[in-house]
Amino acid sequence: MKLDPVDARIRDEIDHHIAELEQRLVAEGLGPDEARAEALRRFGNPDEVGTATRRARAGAGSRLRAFGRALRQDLAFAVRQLLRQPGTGGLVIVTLVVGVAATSVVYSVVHAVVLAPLPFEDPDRLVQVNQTSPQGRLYGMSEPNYVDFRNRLETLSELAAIGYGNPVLSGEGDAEAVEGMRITHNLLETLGMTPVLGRGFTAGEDRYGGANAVALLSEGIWLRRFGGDEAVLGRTLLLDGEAHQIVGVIASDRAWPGVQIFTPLAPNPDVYRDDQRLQAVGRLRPGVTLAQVDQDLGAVAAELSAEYPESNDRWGASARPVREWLVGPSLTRLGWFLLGVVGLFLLMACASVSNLLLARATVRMEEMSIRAALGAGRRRLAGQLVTEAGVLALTSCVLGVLLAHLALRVVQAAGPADVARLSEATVGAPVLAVTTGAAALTVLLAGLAPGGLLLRTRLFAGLRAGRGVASPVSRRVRGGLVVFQFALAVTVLLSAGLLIRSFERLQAVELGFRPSGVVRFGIRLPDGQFSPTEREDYLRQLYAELEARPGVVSVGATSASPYTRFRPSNFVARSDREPALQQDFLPVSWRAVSGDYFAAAGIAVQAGRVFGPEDRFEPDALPENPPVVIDETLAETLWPGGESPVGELLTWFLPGGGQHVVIGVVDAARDENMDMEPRPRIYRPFALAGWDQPSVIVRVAGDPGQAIPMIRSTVRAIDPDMPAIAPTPMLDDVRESVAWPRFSMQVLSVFGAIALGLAVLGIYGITAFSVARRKQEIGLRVALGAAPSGVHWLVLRDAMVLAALGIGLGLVLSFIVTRFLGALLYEVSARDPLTFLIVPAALGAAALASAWLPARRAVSMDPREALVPE
Amino acid sequence: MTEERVDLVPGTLDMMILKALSAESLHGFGIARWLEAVTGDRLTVEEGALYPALHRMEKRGWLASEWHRTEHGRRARYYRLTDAGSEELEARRARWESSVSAVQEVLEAEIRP
Repeated sequence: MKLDPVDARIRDEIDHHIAELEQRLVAEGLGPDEARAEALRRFGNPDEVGTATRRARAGAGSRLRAFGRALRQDLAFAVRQLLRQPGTGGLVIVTLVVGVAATSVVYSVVHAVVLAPLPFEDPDRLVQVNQTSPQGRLYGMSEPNYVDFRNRLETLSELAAIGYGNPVLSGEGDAEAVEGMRITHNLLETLGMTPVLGRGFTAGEDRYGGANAVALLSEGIWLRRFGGDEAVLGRTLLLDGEAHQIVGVIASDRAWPGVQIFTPLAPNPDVYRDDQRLQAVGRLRPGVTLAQVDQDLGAVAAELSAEYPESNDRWGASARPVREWLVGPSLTRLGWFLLGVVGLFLLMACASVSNLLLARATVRMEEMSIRAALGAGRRRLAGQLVTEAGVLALTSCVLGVLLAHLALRVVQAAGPADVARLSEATVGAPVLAVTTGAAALTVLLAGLAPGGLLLRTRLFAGLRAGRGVASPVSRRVRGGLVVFQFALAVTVLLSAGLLIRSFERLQAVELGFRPSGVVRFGIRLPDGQFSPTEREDYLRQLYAELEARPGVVSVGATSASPYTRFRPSNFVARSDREPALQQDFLPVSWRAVSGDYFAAAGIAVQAGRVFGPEDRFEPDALPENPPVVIDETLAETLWPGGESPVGELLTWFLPGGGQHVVIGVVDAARDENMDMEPRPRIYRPFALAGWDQPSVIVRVAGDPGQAIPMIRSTVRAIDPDMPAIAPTPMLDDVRESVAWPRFSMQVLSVFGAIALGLAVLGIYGITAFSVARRKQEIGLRVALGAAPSGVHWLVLRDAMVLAALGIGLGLVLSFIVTRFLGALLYEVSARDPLTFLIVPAALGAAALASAWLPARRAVSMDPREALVPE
Repeated sequence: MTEERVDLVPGTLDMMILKALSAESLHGFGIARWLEAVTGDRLTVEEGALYPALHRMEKRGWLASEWHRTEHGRRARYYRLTDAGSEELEARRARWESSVSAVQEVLEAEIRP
């Protein structure tokens, strides 16, 4: 066997020593065998000496190597500890993993949806400009008004406009509707976007009646459908059957997710001014403030009121930051609220972890004292504590980050789909830095506590007093943490409770229509290709084909299906009390409907009748008073006190509106905002109010999802270039409309449940610990004849005082936090007495139950056992 | 061996080895004999315990060593003190003396009944 030079040297040295010793002993007169035995006795076991020497050599290297070896030992020790006593360590890790993951995911979602910078150049200088009705409501802009505002405003360097519309793309395989936007040529410049490929629109292409047959592609569709091929420039696309030349590609997907094709808006300066369908976006000139823009807008609006009194009288205009327009105030509020709650939740997780670690620290003090007494250096002990805390922190953070990524996928798959920015959410580095930083800091601080206590206490005090040394300080700290935990648990649970109650109310809302069993889809009937009668003809054929299919109950169409962003408005008044000014007309929501719309949508008729075959008119033979149907809200507003509106006349404030006769009254349908009382509604026949993309409503007998393929094929059979656009069960739209309330409720419920668990664990821990510590005292009391109930109360009292303090503090905190919740609640007060009663009571009961078990143990303890010192 | 034998005070073996080597180079067996001679055989220390200490101190740079022939013609490893070793010996001696004198003062202090 070949020896290592060091081993050989050690062996030689030992051999030499023993040989010399033997020789000397022989010289002193011992026999050879005796001398051998005596030499070995004096020297010690040569093998053991050899091993010890090798070890001493290896261990005595540089300081760095010594540190490395200590670290290895500590790591191994820390991992062994963790595995041997998985209780505390496991709880610490689980708590932190959940804390880190939940906080990171919610932050990432809120960031992507609410906080992320808008993908425009200098977005803070961008405003959205609205027309404001005499009643102060915000409206979009009509094309002629937009042109006038653009030409006259001085405070804006640009004013661009956007219109929506989903053209059908054909000639590329199956015809399909694509989400599209009509934009003015200056939109890209206004927003500071440059095309990825090709160019934007020219002023000439944006002129009404000009060469408008050009299109821009979104980068998304360009990559997916055209493989990112630069040769798409110059190719033509059939949009609504018309050839459009592709002139450029723009990176629009972040700003308008889902929009695939852009065409020139080419605003018509001579169309009527009441059709406020455009969204206008402008850029402030350098140095101009929002207030100056509003002043400028007011001045221009006043000019237009004077010039076009029949449409613009008393109409104003106002500007707001684009973020407010794109994100919306309630989503922003919800986002900040969720962030606040999640922040509290992270604090709560950290408090729980501190509590667990401090409990363990008091036990560890004993071990530390013994080791210090045996000569372990303080630095080394501190090093060991750091290593243990490091192992916990690292494990929790790594697992937390992994869980965060997984959970975000789940949220993206299951979360609200209407906000497509959600799909862009990623768990970013900054949020991970904050969450893992908080987790790691907590573990390190709480994990080092025994070290700090050790340095402050005399070394051997820890041995004499057993596990009691650290208790006065750490008991107070731990009590404080339990109070804090309960306060946060109350706050999170109360917020969750309020949102759950609100969501329940929302679910119980009387919709006024029956969305179950209904499929809706869009159909494209562009202005240029269909006259009003041709639209009616096509729709009638569609209804006949669909109604002939088995399972179809009734079919109709509407200008806007429930919960879409199209919410057309107008103004009406009783003809016998017609006001002189438009501002005194009643603002209403209106729909153009056709076929058996009311039956298909499940809207009940209250009085009179709804439209039928007798309401068909040729365009050249319109009745003097066209028929309209109104809903109960409008009926009660205009004809209060039980007067019957059926047969009465109603003046509709629109071009060529004139007087209409009310033929029926229907239930109010809450189909615009589920959480708001419906606006008064008026329905008119489709034939009188053409709409280029109506929604067809099909009521079927079975599962609407199953009927979709049948509907697609039936529609395609009529005209392969006119596909059914996005057939969807209407229940999905309803669900989608409350997706954010549902999401926030679910998030808070999960957080609330975990917070409750942590608070209960905290109070259980501190009670169990105190029972263990006061074993002798309790045993003595029992031995001296204390009543079990008295002892029981003694133990419970401490726990309940902490819980009560925490709950009280939590109620105060909740009063502050839920103030921000008020606007997000539906028909539930932010001070809802029931929630404010149930949550603290439930927490109190949970605290009592979790302190009960250790208290019972205290009572049932055998006093003899308790009095024997440990 | 009439005198009482005493155990080695922990941590003092290194100091004694350094002292042994402060005058001349010695091999392990020689150090053991020197200690025996100086203390009059009162210290109970397994002679093998010298070797881990020697190797550790060599690794720390306080000792250096090389092979030489002994007077009996055997090959043996001779240790000598380095400059760092001399400094270490002085430092340890100073600490030891101050600690002994402190203990001594305590033990000689007058205690009122």
